[in-house]
Amino acid sequence: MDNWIFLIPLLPFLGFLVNGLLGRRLGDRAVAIIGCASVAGAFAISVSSFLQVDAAKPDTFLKQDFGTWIQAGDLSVSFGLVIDSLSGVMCLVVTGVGLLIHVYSTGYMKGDSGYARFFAYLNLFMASMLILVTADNIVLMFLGWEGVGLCSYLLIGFWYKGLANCSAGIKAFVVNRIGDLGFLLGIFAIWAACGSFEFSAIVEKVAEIDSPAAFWICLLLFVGACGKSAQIPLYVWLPDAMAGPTPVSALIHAATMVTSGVYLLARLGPLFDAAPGVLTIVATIGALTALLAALIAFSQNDIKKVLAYSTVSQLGYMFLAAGMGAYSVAIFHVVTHAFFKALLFLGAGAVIHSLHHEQDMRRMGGLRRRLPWTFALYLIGGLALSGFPLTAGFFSKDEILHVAHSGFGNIGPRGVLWAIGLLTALLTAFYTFRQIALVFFGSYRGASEPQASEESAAHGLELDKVKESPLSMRIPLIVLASLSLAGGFLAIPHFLQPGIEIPEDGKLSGLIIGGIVSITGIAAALAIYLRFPRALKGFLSSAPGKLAHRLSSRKFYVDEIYQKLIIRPIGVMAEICFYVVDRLIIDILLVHGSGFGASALGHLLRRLQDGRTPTYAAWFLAGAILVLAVTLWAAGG
Amino acid sequence: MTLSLDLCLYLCAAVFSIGVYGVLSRQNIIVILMSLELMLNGVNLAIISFGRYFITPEGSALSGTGASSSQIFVIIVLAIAAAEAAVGLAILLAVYRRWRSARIGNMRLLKG
Amino acid sequence: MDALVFYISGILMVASALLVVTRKNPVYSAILLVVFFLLTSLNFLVLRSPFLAVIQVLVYGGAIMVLFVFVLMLLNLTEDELEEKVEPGRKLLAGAGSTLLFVLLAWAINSSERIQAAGDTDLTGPVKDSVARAGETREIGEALFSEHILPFEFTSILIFIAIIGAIYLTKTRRADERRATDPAVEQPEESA
Repeated sequence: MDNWIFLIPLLPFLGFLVNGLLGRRLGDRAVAIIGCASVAGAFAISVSSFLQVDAAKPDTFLKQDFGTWIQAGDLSVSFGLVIDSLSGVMCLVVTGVGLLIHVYSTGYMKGDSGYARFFAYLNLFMASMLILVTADNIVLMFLGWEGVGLCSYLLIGFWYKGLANCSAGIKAFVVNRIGDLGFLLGIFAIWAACGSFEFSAIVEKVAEIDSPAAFWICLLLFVGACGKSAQIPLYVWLPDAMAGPTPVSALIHAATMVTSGVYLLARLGPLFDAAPGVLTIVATIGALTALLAALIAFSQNDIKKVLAYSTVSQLGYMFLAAGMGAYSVAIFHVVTHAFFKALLFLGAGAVIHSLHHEQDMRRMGGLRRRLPWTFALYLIGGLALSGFPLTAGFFSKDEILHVAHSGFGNIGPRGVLWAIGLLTALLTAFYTFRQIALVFFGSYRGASEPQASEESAAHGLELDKVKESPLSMRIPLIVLASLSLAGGFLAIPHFLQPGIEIPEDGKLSGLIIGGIVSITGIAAALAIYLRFPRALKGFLSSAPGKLAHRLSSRKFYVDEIYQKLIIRPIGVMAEICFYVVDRLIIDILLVHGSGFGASALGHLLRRLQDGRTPTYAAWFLAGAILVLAVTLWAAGG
Repeated sequence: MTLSLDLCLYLCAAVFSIGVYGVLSRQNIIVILMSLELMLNGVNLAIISFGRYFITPEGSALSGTGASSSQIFVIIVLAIAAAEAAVGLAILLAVYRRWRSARIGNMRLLKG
Repeated sequence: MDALVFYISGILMVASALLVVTRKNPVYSAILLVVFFLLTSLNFLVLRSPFLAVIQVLVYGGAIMVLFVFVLMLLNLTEDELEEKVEPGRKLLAGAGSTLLFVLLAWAINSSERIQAAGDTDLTGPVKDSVARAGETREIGEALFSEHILPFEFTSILIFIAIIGAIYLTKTRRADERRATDPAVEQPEESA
């Protein structure tokens, strides 16, 4: 079956073409079938390819080359796809979770006027993401990288009639661009150092690259990863990206696109191993991002924003693992995170859908009786995210903490980062169950409290009108919930990096500590929000409480800082360019001026032709004198 | 007293320049045409001087029928001057019939 | 001796030329121009071109100047038509220009090595024997009709064209023909 792997990105791409060009004419039902079928086909082929690779261990892969894509002198880039253990896992996650989300979207987006356009974009995204993970060279991967960035922009601003949605899309694209610059420079550096773009060739030549070169290459590539995977300082686009439809948030901004950065590091693992300085930076930034995002998630009132910051935080965990050289552990967390984060987002989407597009948690409450299925499934997701014992999240998160604590391969333990990670785990459990408490427990606040918030509409829904979501939306949730429970037992780390041993001592105690932390956080949140809300109010009205709340809800003023330091100066430069360079110099001086100059010259020269013969005769003489003088002067007088 | 070539040439230059002055500063068309003839005569003198120099023993550059080439040159110039004077006066007459003036300041139709 | 004649006639030539361009009365200018031609003819004689000396008088003095005087008499210009008032500075500018021209020409003559090297040769002195008769009629005739026949023919064509031009330009027209070809008079519309 190794000749079929090209279908993996191709089928969704065909789905994009059909739905994009003919979608409106085909009708919503056909669009939905085509959109889901193309992904289902890709999933089927991913499964079969993966089984082939898995069965013929170790280190085998399926490869398919389509010839040269770019040829410029020495430089040549081929269009080649490869399925090895790493890309096989990624394909499975992308197509599997993607398929579930496609099915979910058939119900969620029902009745939307842009139904066909949505599925077209979604398929295009799948195609790009699959190219990204199956590419055998970094330039082709970059093609997919850009493709997913484009689709992210298109889908965030899907409801383009709203200005905020378009701005969010542009913000995502621009911030990504900054990262992409680093990525591109990294690609150039790789060419300069290795002479090849193929991953296999790069990995082989790692030993020949000297330290400074490896450092810079890895650093530049990490900048690209920061942009795509929303790490400090390029994470600011992801919360804004919640303006897009919820399936988009689930698929792109939780399960797949944002993990591209982690995948990049895993792909070029041996290269990064040669640059330990960069790995330290990666791990540190990962840990700090995890902590920062968790702190911000505390005070968010929008149900999706909590999940967005949670995603940023969990991505930080993945980079923490990658920074310890444990790429397989990072990918493990990618997989489990895809399961439970997609579950949570889709669940949130179900809540939003049932409440007729209400997103503010302050107007929810007590929904567990009206939406029993949604509640149960969401609860499972929340437990996985919090690292409740035996859930998938428990295993992957604790693997990361264990690696940070005990070291991995050549990299020694980093106690500080482990502590940060542990603290963040506590916070994660807390804010997750804060959310669950606010949404599903307590009393319903939707119709009674007329609080106006910026995001939600001014009307609330009567509680008895709240209905459970349709089956098309529920089944994917059930599947994801099962995976969130069972996924932890997949033993992915050993599968991906078979050679390396994870030190075993301290593993059990690590698991126990992790479990305790998780349960503590959950209990604390439930206690405070359900039993002792006044204690919370008291804390928030005190001075440190006010400060903490302000810092958190204002996202630590990062957006404002960026605005002042970066965006305003660029805006000023743009104004200068417009008013001075464009208007003044080009329009007035050059264009208008040259016209004016030409006509002024014409006016001047017209005086020569006054129709009077003596004038002409005088000019004859002048010409003759000039010629004579020049000749004499040139001949040396 | 000797007569050297450059002396002749200075004379020609002087006559020519005087003719130029006449062309530029006078209003009466006939006087302008006469100044033009003055210029042509200056040129004729220069040609003859050179021709005379080239048949001296020191400056001999011409031989055979070529020795008369300066005279031939002047004959041609003369003929052309005559033709030009004739046509110029004819134009003057035609113009005078129309505008009743022989002043070059009044001939402005070439404007623009 | 010859050189002395040349010098005197040269000075007189310059004087008469200056007078030609400065007289208000064009007839005076014409007469002075004839004098100028005669002096030029004298110079030609000194420079061993007897044929040209004669031709100069005959053609310039006898034909061209006659033509000029004819036209002058024909025009019969009145006093105010002879008015020479030009805009201020024009005479000055013309004078400056022509002086500058003279200076440049003189400078050119002065800086030419060949001409300066020829300064020793006396143009009134001996002649190379083989070409001694260069300016005589017979030699000119031989040269004109053998080596230089082509310019000769072209010149004749040129004179021919000049004759045609002169006749056409001065042809008197019938009254209606005159109106029809006058550019300043509006032409009646021709029905198409």
